[in-house]
Amino acid sequence: MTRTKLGKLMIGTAILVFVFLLPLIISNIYWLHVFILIALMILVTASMRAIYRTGEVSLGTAGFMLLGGYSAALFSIRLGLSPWLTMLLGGLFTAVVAAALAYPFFRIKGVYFVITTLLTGFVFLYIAGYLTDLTGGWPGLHFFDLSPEPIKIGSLTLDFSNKTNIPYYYFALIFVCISLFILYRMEHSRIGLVWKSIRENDALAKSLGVNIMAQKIFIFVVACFFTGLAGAVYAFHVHALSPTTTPANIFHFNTSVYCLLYMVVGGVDSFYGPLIGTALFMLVTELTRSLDLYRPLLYGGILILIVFFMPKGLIGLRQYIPEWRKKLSGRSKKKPGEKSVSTQ
Amino acid sequence: MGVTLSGQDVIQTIINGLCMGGMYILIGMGLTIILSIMNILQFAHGEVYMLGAFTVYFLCVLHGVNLYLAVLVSMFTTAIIGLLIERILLRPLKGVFMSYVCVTTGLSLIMQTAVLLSFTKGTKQLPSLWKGPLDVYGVFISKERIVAIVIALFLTLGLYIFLKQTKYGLAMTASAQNREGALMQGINPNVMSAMAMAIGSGLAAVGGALGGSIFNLDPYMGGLAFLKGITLIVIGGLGSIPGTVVGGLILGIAESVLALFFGSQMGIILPLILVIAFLVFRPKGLFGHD
Repeated sequence: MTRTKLGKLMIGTAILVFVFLLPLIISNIYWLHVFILIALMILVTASMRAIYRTGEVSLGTAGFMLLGGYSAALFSIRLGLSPWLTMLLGGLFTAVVAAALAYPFFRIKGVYFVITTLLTGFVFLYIAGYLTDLTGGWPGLHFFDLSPEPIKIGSLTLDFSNKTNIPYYYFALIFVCISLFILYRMEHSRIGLVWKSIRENDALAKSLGVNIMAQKIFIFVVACFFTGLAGAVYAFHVHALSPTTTPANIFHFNTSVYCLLYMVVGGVDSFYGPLIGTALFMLVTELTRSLDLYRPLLYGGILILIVFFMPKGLIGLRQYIPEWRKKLSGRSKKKPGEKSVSTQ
Repeated sequence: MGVTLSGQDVIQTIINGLCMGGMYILIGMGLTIILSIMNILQFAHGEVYMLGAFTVYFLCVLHGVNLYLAVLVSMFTTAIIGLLIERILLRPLKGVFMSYVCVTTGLSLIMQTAVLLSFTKGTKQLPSLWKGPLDVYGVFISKERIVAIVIALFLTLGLYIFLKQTKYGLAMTASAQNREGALMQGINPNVMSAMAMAIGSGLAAVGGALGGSIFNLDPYMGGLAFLKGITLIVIGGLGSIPGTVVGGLILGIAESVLALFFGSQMGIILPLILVIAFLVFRPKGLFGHD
């Protein structure tokens, strides 16, 4: 094991231990809610990045979250199934819908793919509002008494309702860790290399016998499955879903844009980019709640600055600092009369 | 259905549809020009539209400038803003797809919030373009909608003539058809991009002014407008001007007819589904070329 690998492993373990011990330090119910959200959004952003690995940007993320959340909640409410089961069903349902849509969607590329996924997200939102009999319509869906059943381990009873949020935090954490591990393994296996080859040069990949369409559909379905699962876990955490078209709603299109932002800020090229971006950004967001109104302004500004000055995102910071230092020192050394050479 | 239709309803629905269609055309025209020349989707185009409406509000309601003059001023200032966006934000990106998506979405967030913070809360509306109904053989039509339709028609026709008859317009068309080929003829793609952004933004601003005189103004109005814009450029075929016009009219009338029968929600959903179907099964649209 090389030194950098060992260092990475140690950092990873340290973070994991820290996250698992977090409720001991901060047991405030609100903050735990925030941490649960961060964990779920990390998964959602990582799924979005998985789709981006094939070179397409999907902005339907919020819509697929809604699909997972609503379907899980409705399976529980209408059919009386256990939330543990329906969360999985929610994810599967999302995957099935994604599979049905994937083939026609991937016949188009680039901007048109963005448009299609964006519109799909909107359609899901409007349909959730329109099917009043099924989904409760615009007022939303409330199921405050419906929580995953408690689990008994010896004398310890884990209660997953909203009393403390601690058991739910651990559940969300374990769920997200497992999902991220699966995504990570996929990316770092042979199949991940195939995806990379598609993004780099799809014609060449095709000539080497890669079935591009099948690969794209597969990755889209997997990503939507995890997005839907995250939506379902979210649903049984907040116990209230709404199809309103205000940006405050988590299922609104803005969430997709925010995921894009987290992904780009963290760095698209690395698996850890979205993790860092989401965690950092959402924490900063929480700490600056008083600036609520200005937040989109801040977000937009950061997004643009990142694109211009750090195209590799925060994960590439280590490369950028020496570059910037060089630039700065180069500039200060220039004499005032000297003309700068712009072609560098 | 349980809906009994009178002549009044039918005419009004059609006029409403035409009026909405005219507004959509103004938005979609900008989007389609920008898309075909710069090959990017301007995610902040809805916000440009919103900005146009708010400029008119600022001039006309807050400072008492004549409405039509205010619309004209708004058109030019917004065109200049479009120019600045192209020069400062979009030109340095050099064709990286992801960067365009990020920068324009970031820009739309910034513009929304900036407008939200610079105006007081509460419902805002622009004064009517022309007050009162028009009596056509016993059928009442609101005059402002007629004016909106006429303005939209006028601008579209103007754009069409510009693109087909003038030197710069032809250069733009050429650049849209084949960027490299146009470059070899001495057409500077950067100038064409700047012109596309300026014209597109100016048209969107007028669309915003028309929309603002019919609906209320709010900083998030651009989102829905943007959605309509992409809907109709997809229906009409990306980059085609006649297609955009026909797409806009179809969308506007379809929406108001659907709203009449199924309620306004369905009037929003069905066109979206239609567009997804179009994109997937006939990506070139009705009048599309590549």
